[in-house]
Amino acid sequence: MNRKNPWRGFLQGERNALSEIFLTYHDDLFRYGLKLAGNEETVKDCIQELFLKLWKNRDNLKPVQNIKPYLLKSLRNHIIDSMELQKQNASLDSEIESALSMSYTEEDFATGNNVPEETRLKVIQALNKLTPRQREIIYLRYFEELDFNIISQVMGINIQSIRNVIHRGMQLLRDHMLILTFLLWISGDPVLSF
Amino acid sequence: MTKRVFESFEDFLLDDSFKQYVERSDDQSFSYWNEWIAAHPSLKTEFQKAVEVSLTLINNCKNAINIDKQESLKSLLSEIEKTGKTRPWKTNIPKLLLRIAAVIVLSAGLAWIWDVLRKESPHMIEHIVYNEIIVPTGEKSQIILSDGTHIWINSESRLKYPVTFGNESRPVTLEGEAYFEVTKNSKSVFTVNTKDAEIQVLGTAFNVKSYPEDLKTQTTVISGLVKIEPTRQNIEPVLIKPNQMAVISEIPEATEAKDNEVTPELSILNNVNTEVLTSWKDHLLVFADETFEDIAVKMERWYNVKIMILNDELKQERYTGKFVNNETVYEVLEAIKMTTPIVYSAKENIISIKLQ
Repeated sequence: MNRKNPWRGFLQGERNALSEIFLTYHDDLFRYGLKLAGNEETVKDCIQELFLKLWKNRDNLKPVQNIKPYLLKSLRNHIIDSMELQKQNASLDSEIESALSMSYTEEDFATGNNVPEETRLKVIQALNKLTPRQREIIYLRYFEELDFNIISQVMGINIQSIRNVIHRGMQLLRDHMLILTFLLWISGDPVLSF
Repeated sequence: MTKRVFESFEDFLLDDSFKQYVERSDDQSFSYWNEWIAAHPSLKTEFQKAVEVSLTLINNCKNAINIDKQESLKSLLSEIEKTGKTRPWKTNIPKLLLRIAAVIVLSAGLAWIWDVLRKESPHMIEHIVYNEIIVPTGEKSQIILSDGTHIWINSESRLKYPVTFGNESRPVTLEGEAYFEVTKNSKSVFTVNTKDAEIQVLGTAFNVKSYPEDLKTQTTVISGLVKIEPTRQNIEPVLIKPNQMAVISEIPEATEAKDNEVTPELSILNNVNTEVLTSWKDHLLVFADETFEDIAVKMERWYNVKIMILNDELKQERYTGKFVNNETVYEVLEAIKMTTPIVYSAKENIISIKLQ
């Protein structure tokens, strides 16, 4: 341990620690939030509100070893809350999950890297056919590089469910890719044009 | 290294060491999987497919962000500057002194802020006047608030509410049990503060039971959505839907009673019988397969009596029944007597009951 955990400073009310945490995790939070909420302004506001809330409540907060998943989880809850409160009138039985619908675009994945372009495009298409929950687990695992244990904490789902959900997701991913391959084959088109 | 069975695409993709292999981030994983695939040539196609998909997922791009985070931080800090002035104390002063000081500082601070605000913007701040309804044992009450919200208040309960609501929020405080039919206002959150949680709604019907001696707070939704924000930091807020009940318990589970720490737990029950739970507001005393012990607590509040059950096995007897309010406590006991051989005696308002 050569560096002090900035969270401790944060809890003691140090502005420097607050700034350090904010700047370190802002981009990860923003990208994740943007995937969840889909709107830059909303996410920007949510991050501000979240930090303000944490700062005001710092006397009641617990020490946190791993700051990033803690913040991701808090932001996730905050976004769900703000979305749910907004649409509370709209429909009574709206599911929380439907509010969080991530989608993937071509910009999310790099070209090259020994992966055939065709595979890359098929993966992106297939990803968007998964359930929102499956897409979110994939995001947290590959974009935020969290392990399943941490993902289960962030999403508030137990780890076995996470494994089951992602297992089904990967099966679906393969099935969709097979279908895409088949479509490609019957159309005889070497370039994907969906 | 985990000893798992790998047969298909998804098995590989779920494995952490396989991910490390594709990333080449761990030598051990790298040699492990090289050996593994050499030993399992029949799975080579699946394996190769998994590697390609995994590579695609790993080579994700962190897209550039259009937000200037330095700017965001600046506005956050200035926001904090505005709100943070009321808490300059340090933690190493003895707690008691600190609390006393806090009360004095807070009162002085409030008076000062009040003064300043009133001078600066005389029209913006309304003076909040609270009313409190205290419903004694054996009674029930009802009230309609300034926004049209209708509240039924059960025995032994107190409800504190502002005489008029401001524009942004509609806060009330409850100790005991009440049934709320909140008038919809999407701009103003209606909040019920209890000892265990803050219950937030925009416009719904729900029942809150939060007696101090019950060591728990139960919220049951009849219509709409209700958000439960537990007072304790370690419980996550939840949203509950019609026919669900959220229970925040202050007593730790019997199995894991550790130290003396009270660990509140939050659980959600589905398909609860809302009719039974809210029957009290229609002056119906209803028991639905409840233990005599629980029924006794209800009867005590309902009839303003004290009930002592002298046999432990009697406490665990379960009963179902429905009574209208004008029946006396003795009529209820007589009904119980029809199925269980009990004798009871009353002295002043204390009733003791035992098996014959």
